[in-house]
Amino acid sequence: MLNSMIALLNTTLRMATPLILAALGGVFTERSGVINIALEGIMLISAFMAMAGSYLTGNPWLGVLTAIIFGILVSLIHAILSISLKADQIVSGTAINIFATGLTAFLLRVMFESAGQSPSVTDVGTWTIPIINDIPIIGDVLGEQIPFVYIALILVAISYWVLFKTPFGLRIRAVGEHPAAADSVGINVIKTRYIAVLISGFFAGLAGASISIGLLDVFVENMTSGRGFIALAAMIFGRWTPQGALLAALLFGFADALQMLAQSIGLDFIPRQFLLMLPYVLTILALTGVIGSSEPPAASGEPYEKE
Amino acid sequence: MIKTRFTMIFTLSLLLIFVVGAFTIHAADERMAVIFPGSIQDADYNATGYITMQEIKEELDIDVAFSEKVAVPDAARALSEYAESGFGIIWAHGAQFNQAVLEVAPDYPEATFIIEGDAKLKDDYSNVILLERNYYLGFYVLGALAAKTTETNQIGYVGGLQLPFTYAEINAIDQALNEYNPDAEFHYIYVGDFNDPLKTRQAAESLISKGVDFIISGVNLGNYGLFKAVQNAERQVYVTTTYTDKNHLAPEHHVTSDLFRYKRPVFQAIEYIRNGTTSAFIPMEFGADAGRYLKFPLDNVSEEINQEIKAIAEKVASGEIKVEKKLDGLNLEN
Repeated sequence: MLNSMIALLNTTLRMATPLILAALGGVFTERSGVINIALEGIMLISAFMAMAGSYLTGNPWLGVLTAIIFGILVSLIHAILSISLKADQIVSGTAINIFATGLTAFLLRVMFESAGQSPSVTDVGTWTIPIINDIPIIGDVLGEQIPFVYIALILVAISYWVLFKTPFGLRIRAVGEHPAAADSVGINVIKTRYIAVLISGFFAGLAGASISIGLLDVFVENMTSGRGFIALAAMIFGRWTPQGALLAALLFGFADALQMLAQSIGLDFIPRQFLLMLPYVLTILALTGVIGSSEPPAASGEPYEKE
Repeated sequence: MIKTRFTMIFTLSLLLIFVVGAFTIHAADERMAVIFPGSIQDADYNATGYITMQEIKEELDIDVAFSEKVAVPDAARALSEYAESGFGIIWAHGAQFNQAVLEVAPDYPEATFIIEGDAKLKDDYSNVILLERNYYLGFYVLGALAAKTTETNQIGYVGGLQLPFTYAEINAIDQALNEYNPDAEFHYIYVGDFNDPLKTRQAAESLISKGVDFIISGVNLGNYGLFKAVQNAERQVYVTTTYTDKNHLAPEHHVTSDLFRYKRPVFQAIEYIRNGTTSAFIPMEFGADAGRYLKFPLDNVSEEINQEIKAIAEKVASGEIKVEKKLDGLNLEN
């Protein structure tokens, strides 16, 4: 039983990692007033690029770097469309998501003359944290994990500090709440929003890399499987804060891991269909604001026109 | 004079169009279209269908066309377009297309549709041939293999969706475990997706934490997550897969694959169509020369187990061993 519980927590943390990273990206961009549903597509492209980078160089960390660069580049497209060209942000995000599916399928075929999956590449492996690893139970859960787990947890703390303890964070929040007022005190709304969207590309890039060369060592077509959308739900559930997004992502990860555990131990008095639904039910509840009312940043989704 | 010549040319042209048209209609039975739910290069279910399509083209001299990655909502449109273009044989490779075929088939009586399923159709269709896949037969043998290989007496199954054929798979495994190793416990997980490697890895790790040392896979692209889980496991965990040989992806863990060869049943269907039979039920048999067969020799297990499983597979193929086909859910006692 203890082994199952440790495995449950271990799996929760690992599987929640892409959600945490992508949700952090969502927090930055939405706090600045730009809706970024393209996180799913950016993650998918980054997952591919991480694999490709590792495949071509043999160094998985160069794969991570490639993923981050492409994450930022794709988010730049979203920034140009939604900030400079004032396109509908949902439409822009949707277009990027569709583009990502086609692009990765195409690249997979061009690079490897195969579809469906890439060859196996070098992954980032695991990190062992010496002192924590020796602590019973905690060590089993946290002592040895893929690097992205530790990176994500550190980035949650950094994101909180940046958003709520620095002038730059204040500017991001200001342009997301009342861009005209922010502009009137000399904050460059356009520039701040651009930076926030590019930061979201950085996080989504890491999230994609964490899937293809962190949790796995291969790219599989459409492998993000809607995790970008679940990350958005985690961001909303977490009320647009890094710490809230962390807890929400862990909750979604836990619900997913729990339904697997419940199935494996044969809890047949609960219909398996219901167990499979559990993570998605939570997502719907989060998106509909059933669990506590959620107020997005006031200027979320509104292009800024300088008066 | 010019008017007469024009009339003659026009009449001859019409005649020519009619003759060519009649010829085309006559030759329509020798044009075949296939729709695939995924990529033909997936090295899995779609690839097995594509290989058979190539064999049809080369060995039966039939013109073939295909559409890959056809989404279920688009299937009816794709099927209708092929039928309207004069394709006499249309193979919908994937049971998810069956509803679309059954809707479209009555509108195109000149075309014959080949579909795949797990039970006979409730209604009669004059132009539908059903290939019964019988997944459960192979999974019974895989269950026997797991029963004889496990050291922890904990057997796992990772599946995609809860469908009649996946229920039949777990029921067949359960039957085999009861017959060859009643002490073994069976744990099964549906991840909700055949192609999500992350969820499959999660499911496999959950099984491994329960002491499972033999996992029978019923997923497709999800297998990449399964391989990752068994490669990271602290103890030796064996796996089996379906459709194509995947030993090279986890050579130290992979024991065998339940392989598919669509050539035999599809060729039989085409022969029926050529003989004028356009409504039929063709079970895909299990055995060394049939549409379904296990890859031998088995890897990573003893020669003794190899011989025992081969004998069991032969008995299933001959019908000496009766495997129950249960298409509904499993109520495990353990």
